[in-house]
Amino acid sequence: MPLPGQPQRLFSQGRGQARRRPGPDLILWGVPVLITLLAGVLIASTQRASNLADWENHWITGAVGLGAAVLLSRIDLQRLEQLLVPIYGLTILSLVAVRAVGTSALGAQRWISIGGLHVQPSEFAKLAAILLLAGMLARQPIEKPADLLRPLGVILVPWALVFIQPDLGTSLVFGAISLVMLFWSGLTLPWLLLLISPLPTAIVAGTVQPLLIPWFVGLTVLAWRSLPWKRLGVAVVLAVNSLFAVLTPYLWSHGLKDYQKDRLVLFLDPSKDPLGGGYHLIQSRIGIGSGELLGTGLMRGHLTKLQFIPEQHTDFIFSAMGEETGFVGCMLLLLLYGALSWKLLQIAGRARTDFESLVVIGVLAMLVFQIVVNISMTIGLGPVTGIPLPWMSYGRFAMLVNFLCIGLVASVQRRSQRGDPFRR
Amino acid sequence: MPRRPPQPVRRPTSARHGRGQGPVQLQPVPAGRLKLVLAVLLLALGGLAGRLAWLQVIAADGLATRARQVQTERIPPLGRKRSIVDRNGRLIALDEERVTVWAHPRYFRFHDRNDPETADPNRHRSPIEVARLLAPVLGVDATELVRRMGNRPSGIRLATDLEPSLARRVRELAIDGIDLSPGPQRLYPQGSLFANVVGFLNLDRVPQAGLEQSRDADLRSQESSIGLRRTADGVPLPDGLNAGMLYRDDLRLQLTLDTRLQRVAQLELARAVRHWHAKRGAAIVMDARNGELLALTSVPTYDPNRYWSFSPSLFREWSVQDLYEPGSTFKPINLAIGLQEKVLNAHTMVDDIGQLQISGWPIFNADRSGHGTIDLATVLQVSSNVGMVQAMRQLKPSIYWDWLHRIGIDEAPQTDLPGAVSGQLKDRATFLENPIEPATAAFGQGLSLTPLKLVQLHGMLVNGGRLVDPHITRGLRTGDALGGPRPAQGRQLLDPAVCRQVLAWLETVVQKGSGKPAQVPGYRIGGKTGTAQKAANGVYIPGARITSFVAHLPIDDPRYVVLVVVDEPQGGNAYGSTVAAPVAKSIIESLLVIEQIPPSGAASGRAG
Repeated sequence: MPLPGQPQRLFSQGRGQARRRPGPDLILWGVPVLITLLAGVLIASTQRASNLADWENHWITGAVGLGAAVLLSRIDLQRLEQLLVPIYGLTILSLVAVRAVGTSALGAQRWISIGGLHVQPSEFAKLAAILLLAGMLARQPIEKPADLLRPLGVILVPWALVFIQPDLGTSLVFGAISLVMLFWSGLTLPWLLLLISPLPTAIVAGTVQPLLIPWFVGLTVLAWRSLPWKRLGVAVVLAVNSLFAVLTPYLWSHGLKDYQKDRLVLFLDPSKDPLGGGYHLIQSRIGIGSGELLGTGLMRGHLTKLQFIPEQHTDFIFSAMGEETGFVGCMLLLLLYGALSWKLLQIAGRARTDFESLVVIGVLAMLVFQIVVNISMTIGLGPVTGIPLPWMSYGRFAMLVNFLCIGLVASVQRRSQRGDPFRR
Repeated sequence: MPRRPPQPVRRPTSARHGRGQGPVQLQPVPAGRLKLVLAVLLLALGGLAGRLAWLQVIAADGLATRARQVQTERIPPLGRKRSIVDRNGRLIALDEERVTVWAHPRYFRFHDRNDPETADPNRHRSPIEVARLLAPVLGVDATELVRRMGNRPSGIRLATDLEPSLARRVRELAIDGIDLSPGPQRLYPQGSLFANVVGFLNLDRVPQAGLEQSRDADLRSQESSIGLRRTADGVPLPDGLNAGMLYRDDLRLQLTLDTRLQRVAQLELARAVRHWHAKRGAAIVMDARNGELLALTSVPTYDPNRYWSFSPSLFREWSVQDLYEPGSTFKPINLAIGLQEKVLNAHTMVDDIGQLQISGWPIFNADRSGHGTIDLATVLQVSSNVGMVQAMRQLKPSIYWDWLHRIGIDEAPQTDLPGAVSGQLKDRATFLENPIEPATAAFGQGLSLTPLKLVQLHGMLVNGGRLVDPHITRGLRTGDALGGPRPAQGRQLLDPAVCRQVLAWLETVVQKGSGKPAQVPGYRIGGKTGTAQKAANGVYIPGARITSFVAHLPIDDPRYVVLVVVDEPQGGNAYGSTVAAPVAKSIIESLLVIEQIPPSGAASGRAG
């Protein structure tokens, strides 16, 4: 029975399962497996004319990941909580190693070659970041602005290491994970807005500078109303935002590599550079649109077969989905992702401890951010950021990490379903 | 947003409450937080779904069309033109593959294996970096290449007319932003030799003159643009191919001209024009049996491979397009008419008194002296104007005019030569009313025609009276096949006996008359010199003359007409016999060798 005033109604439909010996959750396990199987076919389709990747590898990696996830789901999360310090150390070490001995690809250093395998430490770093933040936020929820310093300070080191690889996409995932987890642990919305305010400031400073004035006024009001030491708070907020407003134009011209700049702005008008940076975007959009309502059918996409979309088996796999399964297929995929997200939110809401709840929310944030940013990129709603689509994109380590995340969530779910007097 | 105090998740943390330590005080996640996360989630997924609906349902048709477009490449025809060969299959004009290099500096990228520091293939390269790579291959200085690129972002023609092998080396550099477009280029391996008849294509491959222009439709390869499905990296897919697509026609346009004879004619003509400081010259050799021209050359001419460095006034063949008064070379034609009308015969004698007065106009012989009573052979030998007037007076002007009209002085000859014009003949009324008109026509003045027309008329004497069409093409042939000569044709206007008589007279001109310089030992050759005054605006220009020589050979089996015209040779001794006849002799000598004509003695021996 829910206690009076408790907002548990939101998730009341799962209530009856608690008594039975629960089997594996159909959505939690079924969605990733289904998507992995589907992606194998799509990857095979993209590789009909070339041999950049073997589609079987996708299924094999998926199976390995699934096995690891099942094992992980048997472990209680508290055990991991005690390993946070070594995990942190290992993550930093591997990210430093990638700087030192890593293989570069597309102008960035991302891989370490170990026995022919391309290890991408930044993928593991995402998982480590979730665990670390969860651990710290569970001990010390955010109650005053100063509480932000410790978690942010700790997460900053791996974040920066990923950023300078440079792996812009993954560092954005870090940001999304951090914000959502901070919010979940009690950060109020005004604080959240203040925390991300430098981003809009930077965009406005780089585009329509007169808009900075009303924007800064708004920030001042927000800071005044929500921060504890009002004068100091307003001063800090304005100082930080001013710094960003000044630095952005400089960083834009000196800090980013050309291909990153192109990626960030070309999606607005890909026809500006139809054979260069805009090529991906245009071809992907055309491919998805040409799928129309029902698609060409699996293994039948023309653009997909003919290699018109570069990197289609990795970052642009959704364009193959769009062409070959059409609107209906894309909607089904979105529904699958939506159902999984719903399930994660449900589990987060019912987790036994703050730590577990935060881990699940972190995983949710990571997955949803990647899904939304990746699909946006392929349909012309966002820039090309090199973020893979979970379980769809070909990439062994991303796949492994995604399944490990499911393992963690399953562990949380298992514990929340086990004998819990309050839930009977 | 309403102000709300920070509200942490008030649940036991594992640090404070270990696993299995009895019931724990659970406080749920605040509803607002859940709802907000859920709302953001739904908003994000809903946004994606909306965009997908736009792309795949509303804009789908247009995008599907574009998808088909990017897969299908329409390959425009290259505009290949057929080759032109001479009568022996020697190439006169052909297309060769040449490659144009285009630069698009905004896309300059390459992978530099020697420089691992900058191995990033996505790095944009400056024009000078690309120019340094290209310079040794193209053989152009790097700074010059950079200068050509200027500041333009794309579409720069960096180099043209590259050999395919050189283009391959450029391709092997694998530079993004450097494009190669192959295309045919017209080459004229014989240089200026056939320029006057063949013409040329300009750099945009638009025909500008000669056969290239007049036979453009025949020379155009039958190409159609085809749609080909291809992969992103340009590999064509075989699914749209059908049997005919790989067919390429190998038709060639065969000419009747003979390169060897053409070369001799041009060399000799050029030498004479140079020697006599003449304005221009033309030489024509025709096979009178069917009208095939074996040589048609004129001086000065131009090199069609570098047409831009010549004056456009050279791009026309004057021997086909310009009129002149034939003068004495027209006299044999007149005599043939007289013979045909039976007002003259082999024994006709005329009284050459040296000077005549007709309607107040004085008529002289070239040497201003009389030759007494002479036969017609002598009239031709000494080229007596007065004698010709006396002879042709016996023909009624109306009949005379009708003949001049019948042989087509005032109409363009039927020919495949571009731009052939009709001659000029006084209208019938003028000709009949003014006795001076038939009188001057008798010695080839007062009417004008093209050298080509004159050759056609003399051909009539050679082939026994038929007016054949002079032409230089035999038609399109497949591959290496060569066509044979056209059968004899043409309108029969004169009796063969008449022609034989005139040729007999003409032979004497070469034997003992003004045509002596054209004698070739062992061969029977007929000929007639011509030295005509040039007129401009109806007034004769003092000192300006046009010298010519027309030869007919061999007399025992008449077949060929050779005409040499040299316009405005300088010097007091410049006559048809001194200027044109030696050129004709050289041409005749080559013709005899090339056509393997046996000496007259041998032929008559065989006949006997």
